Amino acid sequence: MLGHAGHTRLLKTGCPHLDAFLGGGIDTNGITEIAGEAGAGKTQLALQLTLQAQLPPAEGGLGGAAVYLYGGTANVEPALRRLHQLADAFAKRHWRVQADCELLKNNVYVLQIEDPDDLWRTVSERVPALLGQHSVRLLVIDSIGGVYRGQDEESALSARTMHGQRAQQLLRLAAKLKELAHKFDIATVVLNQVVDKPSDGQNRRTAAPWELGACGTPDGSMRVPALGLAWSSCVNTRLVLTRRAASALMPESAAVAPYDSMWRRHLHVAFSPRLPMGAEAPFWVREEGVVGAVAA
Amino acid sequence: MVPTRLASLPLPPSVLQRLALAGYETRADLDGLTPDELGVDLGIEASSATLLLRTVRGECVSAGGGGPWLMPREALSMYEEERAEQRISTCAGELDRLLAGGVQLQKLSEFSGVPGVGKTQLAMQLALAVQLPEALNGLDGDAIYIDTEGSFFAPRCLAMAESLLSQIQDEASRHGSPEQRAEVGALVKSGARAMLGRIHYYRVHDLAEQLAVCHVLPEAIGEIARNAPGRPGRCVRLVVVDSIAFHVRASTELTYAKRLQLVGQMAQLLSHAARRSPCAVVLINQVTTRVNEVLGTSGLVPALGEAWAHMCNVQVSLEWRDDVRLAALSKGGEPGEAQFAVTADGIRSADPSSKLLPPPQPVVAALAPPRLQRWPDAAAAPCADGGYGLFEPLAHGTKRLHEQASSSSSAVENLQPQQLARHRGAPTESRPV
Repeated sequence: MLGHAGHTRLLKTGCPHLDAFLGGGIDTNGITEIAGEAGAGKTQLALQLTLQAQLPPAEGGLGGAAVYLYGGTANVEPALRRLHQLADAFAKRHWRVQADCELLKNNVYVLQIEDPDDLWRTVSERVPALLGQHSVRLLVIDSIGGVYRGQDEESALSARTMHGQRAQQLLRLAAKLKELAHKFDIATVVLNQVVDKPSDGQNRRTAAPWELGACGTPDGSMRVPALGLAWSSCVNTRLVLTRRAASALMPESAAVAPYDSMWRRHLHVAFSPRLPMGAEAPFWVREEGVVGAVAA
Repeated sequence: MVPTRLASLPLPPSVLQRLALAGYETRADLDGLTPDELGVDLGIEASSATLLLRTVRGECVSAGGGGPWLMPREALSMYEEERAEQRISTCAGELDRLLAGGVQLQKLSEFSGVPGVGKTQLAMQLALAVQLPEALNGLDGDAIYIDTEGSFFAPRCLAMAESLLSQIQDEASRHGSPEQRAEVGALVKSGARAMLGRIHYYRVHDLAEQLAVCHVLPEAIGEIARNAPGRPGRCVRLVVVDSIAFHVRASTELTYAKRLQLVGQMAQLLSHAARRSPCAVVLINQVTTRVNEVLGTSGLVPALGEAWAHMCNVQVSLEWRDDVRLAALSKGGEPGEAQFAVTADGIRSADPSSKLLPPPQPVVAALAPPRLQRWPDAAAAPCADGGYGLFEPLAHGTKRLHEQASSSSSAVENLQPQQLARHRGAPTESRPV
């Protein structure tokens, strides 16, 4: 089984420090969630992965295209602009394998998602069709919290019925995603938002201590990945990105790159079947992408 | 000829009821059935089914419905059986003691908990621990791993196997008996990769596949025993389902009643396999929030509801208490709690000086369930630390262990084809070509 592709293939992030931290990269079995508040760098990392996936396996990629499901109310334009920028830098960096900026961009299939029903239809019908025709090796959902939480406010159902239904839909979706991931041997990256959670005794039992540590905000409130326990149970590897103002936390921020000098960012492993849980790594978002910061 | 109705035969009412519920009405309905098939269908032991078939076919006359299925058993003999039963060590001393020695054969043991608490790690650890030879506190058995969630990660499992081997080797060289050292030598020689070869892995994508695997378990177990190269008597001693709940919960199209029925069927099939093999069945379960509307409180409970809880013989919930992991036994033993740790090596005792190997003498004391500790008589207690050698000085030569681990694994790099590859071809596999 060690030799089976689905269990050993890893999608590298493109940064050696982050790859070392992630034990080689994002694995192609099960669902990897990247959660974090707005601006934490989730989309940045996901876009980078869509390019990285296209590299041949020898270069740390998966040798295939990427499907990018973009949901929620936000406009897809900024993400596409950023993708363009990243693809440019990426093509220059990987000139040896004849990476072409236009080709890189065209190999990212962006599908806009309206609501949870639309997401289900896409994942159960359109995506499998795409996977069958093209050699797709990465599926990104940006973001699951955005798709489902937009729905919350509009729904007229009582809170409990709604949560029950939502949990069922999420479980069904997760089962489908995992099935696709295994059958087509693709990496599945699902982005998620974080929501405020009042800190009470119950928290301690539903989440690992470091997950709370990673999600705790300076004012003492907790921010946890959205969609609750039912969704958490579906996620195989949960990564959390955090961002704090650099000045307050790190007076000696002279070492921080100019592009990202405002923020001190960290990547945390909330849980994973293979990574040391509770570990964290600093990173920067730079013009050419997400890179790990080496501890001095 | 008028068909003989089963109700007219001298069968006990409980058996007649089961037959009627399963749809059997006449003697002809039972033609050609094997005791095993009938046993699964009716939910009775194969031995009872054999007797039932013999009675129905007129081969033995049961007087007044008093067949041996109604015969009482001596509670003492049941107690003895229970005591003598072997268990699979979790590799965490306190957790083993909570479970009276480890995970029991012939029983369905459920471990539930929130994501990240270590359920999958525990499942992988058990799949390795069961393979250790008997002298090293194992059962020398294979493991079947039914993965419904995609959490099993072979490289991680290999790393855990390497750690297990090097730690056991270290302990055996310090305080092991000659027999233990010989066993360790053989084990290290075959290496960590060989241990992965003894985990038979199924990846299951939906509820139908999950049920199908449960159905073919007895055959799969038989197949593994037959195909064991040069190892007569090798058999499966552990079946893991990680997790039992995921696909049941994800099947939104099923009604509650139908789901309950399927879960019951699954439990029945697993418990049949557990008793027949015999092997331990470890069921990993998710947790869900239950709101108590009267009290206005909420708490975490294992998924799949009360009906499922009744089908498990042992229930353990893994949870966070502040910054430590706790296992709480709620069914199938003396209720209690035990701390455990998930380390780079796998599941281990929270006490870093705890040992994996029992001291060489007396082995019996190490296997004896600690329920003896209930007696206030101090002399009756096995030994203060339950036989785990807590008093042994701790000195892991870490560097040396790493050298041993790397040399042993490289020596067997191309030792044998992966067992798993073959069993992956079983009915659940549906990879497109």
